[in-house]
Amino acid sequence: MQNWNGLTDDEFRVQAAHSFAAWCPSELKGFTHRQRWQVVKPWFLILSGRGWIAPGWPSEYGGMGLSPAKHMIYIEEYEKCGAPRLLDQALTNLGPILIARGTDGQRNEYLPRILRGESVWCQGYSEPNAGSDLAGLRTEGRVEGETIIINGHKIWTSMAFDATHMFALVRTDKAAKKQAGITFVMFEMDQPGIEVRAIRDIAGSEEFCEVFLSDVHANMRDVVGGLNGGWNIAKTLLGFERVWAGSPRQSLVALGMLERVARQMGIFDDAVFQDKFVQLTFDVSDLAATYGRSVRMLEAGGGFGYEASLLKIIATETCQRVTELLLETAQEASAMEGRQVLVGDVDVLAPFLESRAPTIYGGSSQIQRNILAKHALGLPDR
Amino acid sequence: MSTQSFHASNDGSSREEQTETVTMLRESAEDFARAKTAGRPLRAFRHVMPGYDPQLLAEMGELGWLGILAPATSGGMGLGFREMAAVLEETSAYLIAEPLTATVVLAGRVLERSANTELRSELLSSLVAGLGFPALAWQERLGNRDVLDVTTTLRPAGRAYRLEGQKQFVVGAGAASGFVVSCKQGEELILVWVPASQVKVASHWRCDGVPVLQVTFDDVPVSKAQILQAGVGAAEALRCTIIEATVMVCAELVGLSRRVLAMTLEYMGIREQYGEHIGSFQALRHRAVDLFVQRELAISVTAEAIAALGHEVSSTAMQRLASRAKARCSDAALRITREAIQLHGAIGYTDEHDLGLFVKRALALSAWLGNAAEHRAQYAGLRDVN
Repeated sequence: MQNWNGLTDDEFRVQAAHSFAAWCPSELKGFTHRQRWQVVKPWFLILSGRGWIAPGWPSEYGGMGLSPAKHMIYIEEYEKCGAPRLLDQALTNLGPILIARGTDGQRNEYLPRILRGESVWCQGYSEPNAGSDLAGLRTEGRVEGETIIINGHKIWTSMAFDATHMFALVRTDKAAKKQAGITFVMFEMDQPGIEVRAIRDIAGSEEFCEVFLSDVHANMRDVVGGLNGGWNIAKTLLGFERVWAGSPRQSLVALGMLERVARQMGIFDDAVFQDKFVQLTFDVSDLAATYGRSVRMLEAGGGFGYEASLLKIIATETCQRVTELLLETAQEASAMEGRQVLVGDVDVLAPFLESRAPTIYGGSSQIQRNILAKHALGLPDR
Repeated sequence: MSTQSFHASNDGSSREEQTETVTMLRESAEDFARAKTAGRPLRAFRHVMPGYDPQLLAEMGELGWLGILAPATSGGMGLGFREMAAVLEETSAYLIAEPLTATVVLAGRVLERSANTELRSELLSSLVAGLGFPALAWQERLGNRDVLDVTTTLRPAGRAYRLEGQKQFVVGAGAASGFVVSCKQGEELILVWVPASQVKVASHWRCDGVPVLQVTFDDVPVSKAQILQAGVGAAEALRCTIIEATVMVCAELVGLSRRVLAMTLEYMGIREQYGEHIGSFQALRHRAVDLFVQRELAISVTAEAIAALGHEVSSTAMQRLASRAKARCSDAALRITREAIQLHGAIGYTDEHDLGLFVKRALALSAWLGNAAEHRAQYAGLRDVN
């Protein structure tokens, strides 16, 4: 097993850049939308075969065991190479949860199959009436011996149509205080009583789904964190998700597009444009500096507290502002669908529309502000 | 999930990337600043020459702060900007009026770059010992920061020279022992040392009660021994020093922003309206978080800029990084202080409350060495310079 952390950060960056460039099939590079499992599966299997599929998992579980700084470099180089985003719910979220909080049986059963691409996972959290108020979820789990019978309705479940398994939050105790009656459980998607419907979003993609659950069966041995102990698991998991939502990458990509469009429009050197552009350049660079500072904190063993919420707010809102200037700059071409030759073959509308989602999912910007007000600023509750 | 976090505490000092020396200096600076400002003696020095307490500056010399950047050969500690910034962040958080950045960084660093080893060593040793405080006089006109665009002239007269001209916006010079003056002899930029006794000064009051001097050189005799640096080296010394000072002002703005936000959060936890702490109202909580976001961005970019100082200070990359830092820190401090008035309500509008002192210091530091808009414009202008 290679000890990647024995390399310097620069050495590892060179190695990662070289590896991704050499391994990623050219026909899979440069997609703007998330691709279906059958499209990205060959790339998943290449990374899996090379031992590069789970950068953040410890090496004893088949991961690369990268330090936080090298994990960030991995992600940066991955995105620079233009490789497509994988179906990564299990790699990013479920795997780390099982490693930290699962049983040996769960780890032995699920982790190897995740790494080999034999199981593909979706996350069943939000419900039509439980979005920001996630703990208000009503999908019911009825315990019958060693089985949990699940009935309810999940929504905003990414890529559920390709999933073989779901990990979900279900209410197993209606009498308890709302956070206290929730269980984190895993089950197979290929069983009677599960219906998946794709939701078309404003950017024209069909990534999110609704999942209807009628008398779906789960095993008690597939509960993580104990019966009615799911809320803490859910919170930990959202933390993982937010750290990566705080990456400056999306904003940098959008800023690059903005420069290209402005040059094409002939206004790049215009003082009015420059004033706005430099402001946004500073916003993105200062985000990157804050992201780097958080990663160094993780590296130093500080653990993460509320950096995740802070970074998510800055990253998602900065990206929105860049896409807004992109629209303004492209004038009429901003209201056209698809890539526009007139502005340098850039699709300016898509990044604007797509940037509307991240300030809502994974805990909206307003929920992040509530979290920071309470925990980072110590402001009093009512 | 661990609750250990670099910003879990209200004061939000950037304690994460620091050596033992930095931590020690920071703690000692905070203790000193808190003790010296207890009972609000700050107000006694406002609008009274020299605008601060020279005795206190001498005490800072005893603590070694005046020599943090100076080499051991001049009696200094030979430390770096990280250490200097730690002290400045803390003293600024307590509104210390003693002009550390102007004296130690702006004047001290330009002296250190002087080719006149004898005079350099004499002036730096005197500064480090707290015996004489130099000031830098370089600006002449509002709206012009070109170090080469000066009209103050040095004219040969027998075996020596005569200096003629006027400098504006000279900061931290209320009790200066002398001035490092930029001037031209023909087309050549020259830095000369002029003792305070040989100049005429007029003071204008900055809004934070600190004097800003207009310094006039009326046919002042200057000997060859008073020439510090000439030619390309002089311009380079000024440019590098101004970049370093700009980054150190960022550290001051961070310290000030941190303190004002902490004061505001504390007030939001005490003040009650409608039977609730105002800090429990969501509209105000979200505003406070937005200020916290700005403070964190300011801390991040300042840390990046400090880490980059000491490499190639005059490089385009460093100039641009300093501009980015000054723009963020100026904007953040102004926004945090403005919003702090609003969040404090009417009490924040009184002269009685200390908040106004912070607001005015933020205004002064934001404008000094270039405000946010100037730095963004400068950055944009530098885009094609490589």
